[in-house]
Amino acid sequence: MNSAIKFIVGLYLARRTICALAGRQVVSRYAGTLFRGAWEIIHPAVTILVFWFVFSVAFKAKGPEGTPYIVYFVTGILPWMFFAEGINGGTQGVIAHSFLVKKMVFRSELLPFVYITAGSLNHGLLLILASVVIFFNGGQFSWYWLQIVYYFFTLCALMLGLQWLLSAMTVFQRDLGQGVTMVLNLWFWATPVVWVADGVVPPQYHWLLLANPVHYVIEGYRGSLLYQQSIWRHWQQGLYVWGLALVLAVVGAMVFRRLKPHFGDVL
Amino acid sequence: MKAIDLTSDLAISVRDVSKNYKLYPSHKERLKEALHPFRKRYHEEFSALSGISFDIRRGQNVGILGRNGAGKSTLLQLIAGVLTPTSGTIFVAGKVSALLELGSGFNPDLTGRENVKLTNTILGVPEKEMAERIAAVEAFADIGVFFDQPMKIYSSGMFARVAFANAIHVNPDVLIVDEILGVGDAKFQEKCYNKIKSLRDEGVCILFVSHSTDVIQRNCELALLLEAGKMVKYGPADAVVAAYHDLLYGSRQTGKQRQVDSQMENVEVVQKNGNIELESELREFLEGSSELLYRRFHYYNPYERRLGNSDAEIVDFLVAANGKFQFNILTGHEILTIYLKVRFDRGVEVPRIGWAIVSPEGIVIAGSNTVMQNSSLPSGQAGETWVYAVEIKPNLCGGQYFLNAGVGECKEEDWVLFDVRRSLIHLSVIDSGRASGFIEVPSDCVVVRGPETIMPIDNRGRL
Repeated sequence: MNSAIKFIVGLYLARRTICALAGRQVVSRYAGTLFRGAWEIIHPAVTILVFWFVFSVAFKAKGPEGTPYIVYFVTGILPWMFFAEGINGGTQGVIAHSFLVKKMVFRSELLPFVYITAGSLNHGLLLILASVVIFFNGGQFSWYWLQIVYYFFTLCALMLGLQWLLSAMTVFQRDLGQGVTMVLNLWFWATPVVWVADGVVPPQYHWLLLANPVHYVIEGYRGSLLYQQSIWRHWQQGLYVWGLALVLAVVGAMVFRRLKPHFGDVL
Repeated sequence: MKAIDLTSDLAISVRDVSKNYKLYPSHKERLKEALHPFRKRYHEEFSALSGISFDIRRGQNVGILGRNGAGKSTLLQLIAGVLTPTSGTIFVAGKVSALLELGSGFNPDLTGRENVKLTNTILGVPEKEMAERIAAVEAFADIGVFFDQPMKIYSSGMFARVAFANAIHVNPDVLIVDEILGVGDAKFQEKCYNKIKSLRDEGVCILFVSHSTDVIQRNCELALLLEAGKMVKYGPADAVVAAYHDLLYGSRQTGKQRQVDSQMENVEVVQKNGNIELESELREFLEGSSELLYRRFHYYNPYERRLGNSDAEIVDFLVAANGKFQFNILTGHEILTIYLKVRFDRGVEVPRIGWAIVSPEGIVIAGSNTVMQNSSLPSGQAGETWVYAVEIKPNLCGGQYFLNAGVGECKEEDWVLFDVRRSLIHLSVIDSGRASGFIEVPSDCVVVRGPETIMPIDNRGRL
């Protein structure tokens, strides 16, 4: 407990380091390109357009209860992209920052925060874009929208533990990075992001949706942005997801702490 | 203001530190072991450092010497906090700035400016001071427009400039410099060493790794010698450098065998000095003993390089300084006599015997041979063995030198090499303090004209 408090204080003191590294993360990804930071939006926007075109125009997919498909889809894909990119990037975090881990006194346990910060910048911009899409399709602002802050932090909490766990283990077993990409791909299709769950999922598989913490977050985004649903509606699931996030964070932190002294020897 | 008492005066304290590297068949076993609930062992131990203890006070510069693989870099990485010791404790007072190899913490895709900014942010430099700090680094590195180019296009010298400039401008309490300045040009090196001196005067403790003992002697008052992961010597730089040279050149074999051998050698030497008169070596040499005499002497360099077609061979040799065969460190003014025993495997009409004195960097300081000197040696026949004596009075300055010796033939302008043994003999010359460079050249300076007196001068400008 004591070390957790110490860690949080350290986190506050290192906030500029985290921001600088997150900024570098964004800048260096597009270094040397003409559109620079614009790619940060263009890239996901095109992905969203392609999915929307294939499912809405070609497959004639419909949103639930008269919700336009594009609105349904965008509110699901944004938190998913944030999650998937954070996990994918974060898994490689320690390896990608070996130039710091090996050569400087650097607190590598901060790296998940770097990836989360870098991702949330992009996430915020896309959310603004999404709200434009919602307005165009007849949606309106409501105070329920602010609930996505809660869902956003739920997602961050889930990512934190997972990133600690995966980034530390990948240093020793690089195959893990490949595995993570694959699992995320399966996870994506197992979560109702592009497809609509209502009436599609057979009852014997319902537990799969309930057990999926990302599903809880995505439904939360949709409930807040589209349907004026309160957080309390799924409070049992909320408890479960936060419990899971806590367990992941503790396990992740323990594994990271055990493996960290060996980073310098392996990288 | 910093109070100067004994405890706060301590910059680095290393206590009984060991670093073992665990050698695993693959990374997978390392992961398994680190996470194994019952701590099963999957590794073999390799001890990179063991039982290292020393203290360094503020404002002391310490050079770290040792052969490749002795554990120098590991020690620096431990002090920098990048590696964790297996056992023991390391105390470092204040901020460490480490230049570990090239490009400490730099990302080659970012520009020099971006990298400097990033590392300073990580080290916790406040936003207010950032612009000032970066400007200072830019000015010191002095690489012009390249400061705003990605570091991957830098030359190694530019890289070193930015890395060093950055390291000294973070206001470190301890500065670690691992063999980095060697890539800078002479002017920049000079600038760095001046900066290092001024940092030391400000109370910064500087740790140096360099293979140039000269650099260590000039910049450090203390030095530490590592050998095979153990601290062999820690003390005044000059003494440690001498020990390092012994380690490098004074031994014939490496590892365990050397220790055993050197003990036996000592016994032998004592017996010789006690019972037999000094010139016995020469008699033994001339009479032809069954063993090779040169192997007995520490001046023989087992890492000599040999070339030639072996039509004749230097089978054995002896060196005498002022007629003495047992010598250690020279004053540089002795008369050196090199006795060479040469066996001819074919008839040679005009044999040629040559010698050279070279520096450890390979610069030939002096050299000659019998053909150049027009002293014709009698011809040798196949199967004959001749002994030649080459006499040199080199007047060497303090330092480390090697002697080459060779036998060849001069045949109608054609130079044939039979057996050239390069860096055959290692000589340590003590620094007299009277001259610098390689060779002590007689020189003098007198007053020609003072403010009051006019001295008589002859027409050639001499007194």
